[in-house]
Amino acid sequence: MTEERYDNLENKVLPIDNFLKAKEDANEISQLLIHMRQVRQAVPVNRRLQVELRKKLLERQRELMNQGPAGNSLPEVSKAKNHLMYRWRPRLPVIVGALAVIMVVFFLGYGQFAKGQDHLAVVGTPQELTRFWTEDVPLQPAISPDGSKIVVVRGGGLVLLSNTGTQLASLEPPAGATFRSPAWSPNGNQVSFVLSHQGSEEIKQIAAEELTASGKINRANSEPQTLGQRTMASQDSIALNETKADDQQKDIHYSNLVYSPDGQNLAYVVNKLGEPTEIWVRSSDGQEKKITNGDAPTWSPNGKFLVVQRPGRAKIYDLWLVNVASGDAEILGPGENPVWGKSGYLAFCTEAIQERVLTFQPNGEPQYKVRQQMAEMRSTYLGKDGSHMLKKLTAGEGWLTNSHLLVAPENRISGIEINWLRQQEMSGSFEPKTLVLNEIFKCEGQVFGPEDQWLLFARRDGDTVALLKLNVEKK
Amino acid sequence: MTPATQNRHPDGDLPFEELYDRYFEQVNRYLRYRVDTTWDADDLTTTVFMKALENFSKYRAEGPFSAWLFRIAHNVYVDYIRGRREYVTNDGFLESAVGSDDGPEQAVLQGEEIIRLRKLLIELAPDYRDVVALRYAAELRFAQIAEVLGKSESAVRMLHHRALKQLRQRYVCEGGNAR
Repeated sequence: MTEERYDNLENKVLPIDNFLKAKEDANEISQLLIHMRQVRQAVPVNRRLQVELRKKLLERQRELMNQGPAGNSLPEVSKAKNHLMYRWRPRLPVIVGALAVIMVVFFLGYGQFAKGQDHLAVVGTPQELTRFWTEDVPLQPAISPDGSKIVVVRGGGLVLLSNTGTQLASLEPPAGATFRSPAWSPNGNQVSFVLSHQGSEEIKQIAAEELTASGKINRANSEPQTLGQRTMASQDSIALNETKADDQQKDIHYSNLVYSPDGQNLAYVVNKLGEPTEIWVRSSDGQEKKITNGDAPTWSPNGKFLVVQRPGRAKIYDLWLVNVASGDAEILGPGENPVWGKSGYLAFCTEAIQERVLTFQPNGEPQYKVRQQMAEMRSTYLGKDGSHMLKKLTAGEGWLTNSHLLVAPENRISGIEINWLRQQEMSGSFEPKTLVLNEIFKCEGQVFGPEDQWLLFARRDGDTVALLKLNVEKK
Repeated sequence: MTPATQNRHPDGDLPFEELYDRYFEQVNRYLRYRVDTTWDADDLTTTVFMKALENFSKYRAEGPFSAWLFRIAHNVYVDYIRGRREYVTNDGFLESAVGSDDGPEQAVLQGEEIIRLRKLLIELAPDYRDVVALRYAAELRFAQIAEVLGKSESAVRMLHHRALKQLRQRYVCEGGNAR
């Protein structure tokens, strides 16, 4: 079987007449199989049943959990035990009732103790706030502590948005420089970011007031195209407090700035050319310390741990829980781009390769297939320090078993696949082939809003990237 | 930290509600494809998932959840057919097709195609019918079909080959528009 990458294909639409002629010559069984698949797709699915049955199953699941495993496997009863049972039979209903009450209290209490909250449930569908052209730099939004404003990086500058997606202001960097990886301090006073200029990078800070005021200044401007825009002509023109300056050290890149919940520490990623990425923490007194290797750090609610991602097996990432003081790390499970909310929930992405069969050979084997990497967003409860999750994992519980789906991967058949099919049929080659497409819904930029009531994330869609808001609630 | 999971299928790490979300459509469509009244097909779908939930602890993740689930679905379907032999079948699909997302005319045409195809499937031997339905309505692989039907994979392939041959001959005679 051969594979073709979409990148290597000429993306041309072939003449429909030739395509139809090719179809006429095709094998009758192939046509029948295609037809059968078409008929299958025409069978409607009962969506109302899907919703109702889901509720019913969840209720039944709760009932089964309350019954416990003892209900399914009663031990053999010996004669002696029968005798005891006979003696206790008159009091049996009372005993059973008392046991049932104890069990219910125990399960409810344990559930609260073990999980804090059951899980993070999605409310409604993701709401698109705004959309940008796709860039190489991921859209890494930062949310102000009160949730009213969002900062993103586009075109190398900082763009300030309202929480409904309206652009309020933008701050352009000095000529030849770019901004990256903004992070809003928990007290709301400062925004940190990376300034990249002529190969060297520094972590800078700007007073949040300066950033928000930049729009107000320019609103007075009558030029609509420059509304809300201000150019940072030089580093001195805006009160930038340099926190790390090392112009001599080229080929060192900084990214993924994130403040600890108390605002006393700033974690960031250091990427030196040809070396694994490192997580560093800078404390408020200016001291810097390497914590561990990894990427995409996120702080625990108590500020003592980080969850980071590291490359795992088969080109997927694993999430690790890292003790900031000691640097000790324990693996959690597969995932990437984690974000740990104040109420203890961790949102992260997982990826899986999905294969779809487009056409079949006469013997029923797949002929043309599409292989694509799909990402989905999930959440799990880690608590304040992740210790409960570690206990569960040690007890053999699966990482994904303890997580819930937040955003499912999109499953769309694109014009690329249809064109590729036409090309195959036109070429006259009917050997099995697999089209390998680029990843869709690359997870990026997830961040919790205040009190973890909503989650912001970005979704790439062709040449554009959408900023989406997903409302969530604790259940 | 986590135990070695090389022999364990990833479906084994997923909670039941997520497996339900993933496979509801496949099971409901499979049963609506095979059973001639939508009401019965939906009832059977409910039965399948209820049974799957009750027996979820027995799923050992030695293979994909779909094969395990469709073994239940197949058994539920067989029980249904056995219990219905004395009854006359009804055509409920025209009604259900009208309720689909397409326009009424297109929906009726699709409904007719489904009925025609099902009629041809019914004329096949039961073994052939099962293999074709599990392959094209449930979209299972041969190995999974073998697991569901309790046959070897080579036997399933042979049944499939013969079934298609018969089906094609009959479909051409019927004048189906195999496009």
